[in-house]
Order: sequence, then structure tokens, then C-alpha cells
Amino acid sequence: MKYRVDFVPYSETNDLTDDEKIRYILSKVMRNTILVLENGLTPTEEMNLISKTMVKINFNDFVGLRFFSFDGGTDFKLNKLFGRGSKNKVFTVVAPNEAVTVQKDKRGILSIRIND
Amino acid sequence: MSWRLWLKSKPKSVNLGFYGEVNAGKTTLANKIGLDWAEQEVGIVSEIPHETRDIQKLEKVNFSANGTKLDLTLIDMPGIATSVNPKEFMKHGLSASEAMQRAKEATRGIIEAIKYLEQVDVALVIIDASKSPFDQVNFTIIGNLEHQKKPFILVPNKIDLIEADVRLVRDAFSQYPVVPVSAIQGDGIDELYDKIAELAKRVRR
Repeated sequence: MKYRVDFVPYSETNDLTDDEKIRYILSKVMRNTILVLENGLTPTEEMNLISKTMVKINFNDFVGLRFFSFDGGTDFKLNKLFGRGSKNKVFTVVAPNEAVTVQKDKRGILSIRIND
Repeated sequence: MSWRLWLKSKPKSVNLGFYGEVNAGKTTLANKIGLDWAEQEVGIVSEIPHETRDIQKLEKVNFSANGTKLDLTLIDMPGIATSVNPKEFMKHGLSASEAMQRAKEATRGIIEAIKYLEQVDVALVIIDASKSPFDQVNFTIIGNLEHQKKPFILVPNKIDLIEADVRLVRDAFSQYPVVPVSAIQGDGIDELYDKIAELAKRVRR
């Protein structure tokens, strides 16, 4: 299985409603895309994502997803990837369940391991 | 007795919700509290994930700690997960059809547990202390409880296991109340009761 990683800038999802944002995420993830969203999810959006994911699970080619919202703190350098003017310090990684292991360790390092 | 005094002496009704990831020991803890205060269990415990797929309630639990009397309703929620894979259940010996049925019920249970969050007055967020606490589900549940201004207690469970690392849980969630327990052995349970009584005071009726 081949997976694509999309770094999605703030401007891509900022104008979407909560439901549109969730639909956007699910449509991508269900097509084997791993998303790194600069405009991270709020806790409410995260719960909404879980609920909507449960509805979409078909037990064959989609059994759910994994995600992790990351608060990088004030000196987080990944913001530079998205250019200057980035407002959010929080980003969210969303991936198809089978694709990756997303894990944060006690030092705060977020590891994304892409499975074979 | 005047109606005001009667109202004051009446135990406050509190919906106590048990939230957490799958197999964290929510039902074991709910059963422990149910047995301690109402001599009844809330649900069946199993090592197979998603044993609790429907919301289970135990009402009229007369609870008392630190001089606070409560009329608790214990609400044991299905474990929250971001994926449900029938193949996982087959590893525990379930047939393909049983696994599929369980998976379908589990997805519905997760949706119901999320919807029910609004009905909860005080939440216990159960964390398996023998595993990494950095599971997104824990953060998502806590974030939503904070957003809805619901009082909650983080309960690292299974502290009787040699792999349990309570310090790691405390470090990960240092800004929240943490009460470690072993639901199966009863360790830490009195401290938990004291904390439930304390947080129940914040519930407005």
C-alpha cells in the first residue's frame, strides 16, 4: 500500500465549518492520505471526527483512523514549514488506521511510523 | 422539618460517568464502586476489547464520603476508540460473524458514549497505567470535559501491575487531579471516593 503525506496549510481549512473540515479530513484519509493539518483540531472537532469516523467505518477497506493533536509550544520550528504568518501553534496529524503508528513519548516527541 | 432543611439533607443526585480508552478498566472500577455502595455490579468485564458496547447504568447508589452524601448514578460508557477492526476480536477467539457483530455494536457504542457526555455531571477518566498515557483519546476526552466545564478526575488504573507507571501519567497530566487506583484490588479507592465527594460539590442542581 502506498501512502501520501499532505501538509495542509492554515489557509486550506480555515474557512471551512467544523463539519466541512471533518468531511475534508475523512475524504482524504479514506484515500490513503496522511494529513498534517496546520489548523489543528479543537477538542470538539476531535470528538466530532471520532463520531463521523465510526459512521464511515465499513470493516473492509476502512476500519478507522489515528490522529494526534500536537501543541508545539512557542519555539516550535515546524511552523516555518508553512511560511511566515502562521497563526497556529497546534497542528494535528490524521492518518488511516492501518497506515501508521502515531505516538508521542515522554519527551514530547511525536513519532509517525509508516507501516509496511 | 421545613422543606428547605429537607432539601438540604437530601443527597445530591450526581451522574458519574466512566470514560476512557478501550480496556482501561472502566467497568471493573464501576463494579467496584457499585459493589461498595449498592452491592450491585454495573456490567460484565472481559479481556476482549469493546466488551461494553452499550451505556450501562446503576441508579440509586447511596454514596457517602467526607460527610458528603450523594445519590449517584453510575454510567459506564463504551470505551472510546478511533478505529474498530473485527480482525482484532478474532485474535481473541471470536468467529468472523461474532467479530463483525461486535465491531458494528462497538462503533454504535462509541457514538452513544460521545453523545452522552452532556448528561454527565462528574467524569472519571480511566487510564491504563501500564500503558503509555499519550493516547490521543485521553487528551480528546479531557479537552471536551474542560470545554463543557465538567469536573473530572484522572484515574490511572491497574497500579497493581508491575508495568504500571503512575509518575508518567502524573507528568503527562500535571495540571489535573490524578488519583491512581487498582480497581481490581481496591488500592487508592478511598482517596478516589474523597475526590468524587469534593468534585460533586461543584455540581449544580
